[in-house]
Amino acid sequence: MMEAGPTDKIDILLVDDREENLLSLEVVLTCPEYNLIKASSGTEALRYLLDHTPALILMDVQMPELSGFETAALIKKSQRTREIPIIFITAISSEEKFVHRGYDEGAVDYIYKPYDTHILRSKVAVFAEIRRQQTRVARMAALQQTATQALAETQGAQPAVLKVLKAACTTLGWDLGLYWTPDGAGALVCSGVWQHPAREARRFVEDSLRARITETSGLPGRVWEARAPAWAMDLLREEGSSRLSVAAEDGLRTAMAVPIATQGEPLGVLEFCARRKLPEDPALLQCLEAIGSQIAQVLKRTQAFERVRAAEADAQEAVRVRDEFLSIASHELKTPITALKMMIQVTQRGVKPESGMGPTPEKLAKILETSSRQVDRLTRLVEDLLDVVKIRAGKLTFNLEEVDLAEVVREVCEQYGDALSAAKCSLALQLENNVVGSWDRSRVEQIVINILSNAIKYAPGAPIVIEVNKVDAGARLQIQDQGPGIAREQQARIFERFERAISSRNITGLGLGLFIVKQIVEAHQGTIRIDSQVGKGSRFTVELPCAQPMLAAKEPSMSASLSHLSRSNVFQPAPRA
Amino acid sequence: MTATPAKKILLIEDDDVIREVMKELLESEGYQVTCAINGDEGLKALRCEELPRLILLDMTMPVKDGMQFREEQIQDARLSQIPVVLMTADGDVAAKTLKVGAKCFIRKPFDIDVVIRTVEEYCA
Repeated sequence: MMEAGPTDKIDILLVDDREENLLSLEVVLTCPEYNLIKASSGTEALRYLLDHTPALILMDVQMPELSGFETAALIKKSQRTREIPIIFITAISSEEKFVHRGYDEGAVDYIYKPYDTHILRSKVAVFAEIRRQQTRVARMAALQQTATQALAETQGAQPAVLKVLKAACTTLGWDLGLYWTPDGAGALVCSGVWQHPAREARRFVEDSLRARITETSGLPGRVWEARAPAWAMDLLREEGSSRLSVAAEDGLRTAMAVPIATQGEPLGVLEFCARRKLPEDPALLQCLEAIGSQIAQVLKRTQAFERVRAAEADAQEAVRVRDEFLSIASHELKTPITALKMMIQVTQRGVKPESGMGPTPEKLAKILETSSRQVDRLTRLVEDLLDVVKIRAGKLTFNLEEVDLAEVVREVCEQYGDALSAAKCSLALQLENNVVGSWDRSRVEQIVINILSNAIKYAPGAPIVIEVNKVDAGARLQIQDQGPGIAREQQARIFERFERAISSRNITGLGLGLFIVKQIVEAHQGTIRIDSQVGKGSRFTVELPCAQPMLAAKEPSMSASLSHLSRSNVFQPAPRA
Repeated sequence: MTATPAKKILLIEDDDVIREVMKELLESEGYQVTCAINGDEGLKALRCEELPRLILLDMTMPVKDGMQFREEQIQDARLSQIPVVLMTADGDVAAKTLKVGAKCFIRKPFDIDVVIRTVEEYCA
């Protein structure tokens, strides 16, 4: 049962015209639980009842002016006081007609003078208990309503739970409420406290805010683990929890806790402490458990809402990245097209078939050479775009064959000779011979081209060093420039789609090169990393295993003959977060 | 063409090929063309040479783009009155033109006839 708080005394109204009778009732009934109000006439009693609702009225029948029966009749007329039980105390007689009259006027019982003090006390105690039960049910209903309202009206789960803690403590007469939530690392942490301003338990609260409660320690831990409410009746005797002994030192005597759970899924714990020593109250625990489940539903709704909001933000970001990319792609594709179109039109203007006039062969050769370069530029852009589409669909195709890495590097450098000299980049090659592996030749070329063309683009006028070495069971390619370098916090991002370390308007290109390189390297079971310092340049290191483990594992008998076989394989690039 | 001195044009464009072909085209039409490879070079050219009748301005360029070039040009009283024609592949070029207060735009890839007509209009 729930014990009444110190301010929860039961009001009992005593009505008698004789002072000595009132005194004797007072002597018999005086106890700390009752608040006895004396009235010496029916009128006085009615006046008191105008703004009070005592748990019980003990009333003399025979009084001057208003008799007990008449007073009772008036009490019963008022909506508010109608339900107050009345016990008549009478010395008149036990004649039936009086008794009937009394019951007709709303009496619940009779006590005859001279009364047995023990019987009187017992009868009063029954009505006091009824009042306590009524109060308790009303409070729990009020709490339930307050909680529902707070959860419905308050923005954010945390402030709503704090309101519930406060409502529970003030309505039920408890001193302190704590809100425990999982910290994601297997422990409960206190994420909200309400305490009675006049009855603070400072040390206990400080201790609780610092605590990390594991599933088996402490009251909240036990409740979390069992998904069931628990009650600690005497904190002075609680063992195994230093937190609760601090509570006891702070003057707290009783603690209870209920899970915040819905459909068996726990999301937190509510814990309450009181200074009074209170016996376990299953009905109260049930009421709070229901509130806990309500909170859990709100939390789940909030979490779902936040997930939706995060997804929306992600989608918006994806749209933004796409739009920016489209703008870059549009610029990149239209630039060579513009150049081509202009050259064609200018040439057309110079050609006069009717007079046999036209550009000189030298001029024509230059125009065709430049046009051809524009077509190459367009082709590379389109290929990069198609590669990204393939990567996204997980369908990059690889034709594995025996490839000499040093040879590939030499070929690419030859191809890029003009670009290197135009950018005034000197090139040093340190290539170990016979670094041979089973790779896709054109994709390995792409790796070298993309990294090298980045170096030319970002580090013009500075030397570039390319190294090829054998390492363990693989090959290592290193390309080092002396460009602006890349800040540490940006180094991981450069391998993502559309990323550039330098602000986008300063450098042309789609920003896809390193993304594609990383996908190719990973599809070959290799690794790529960057070592870079701002102002000192960057070094890209690619390591590729010489044999392709995926192939070897699948078809061990074939691996030896791979050197003279060219086979097509489709494998998925490593999944991207 | 008459014997009057050639009309001067400043061409700011980062793409080598486009820049060369345009220069050749406009020179064949009798204009005197100064080239710059970005907004920064363009401003330098404006500050140390005789002022041109018209500026042809690319928008997307390294170092200093078309937008940044315009901001500085407008702030310089000596340069602010020179008309500017934007050259860009951007989809929302019309909005951009308004934003930077340019006279008009030619959209890449463009017809050389349009280039010649536009230049004639502003150098007339």
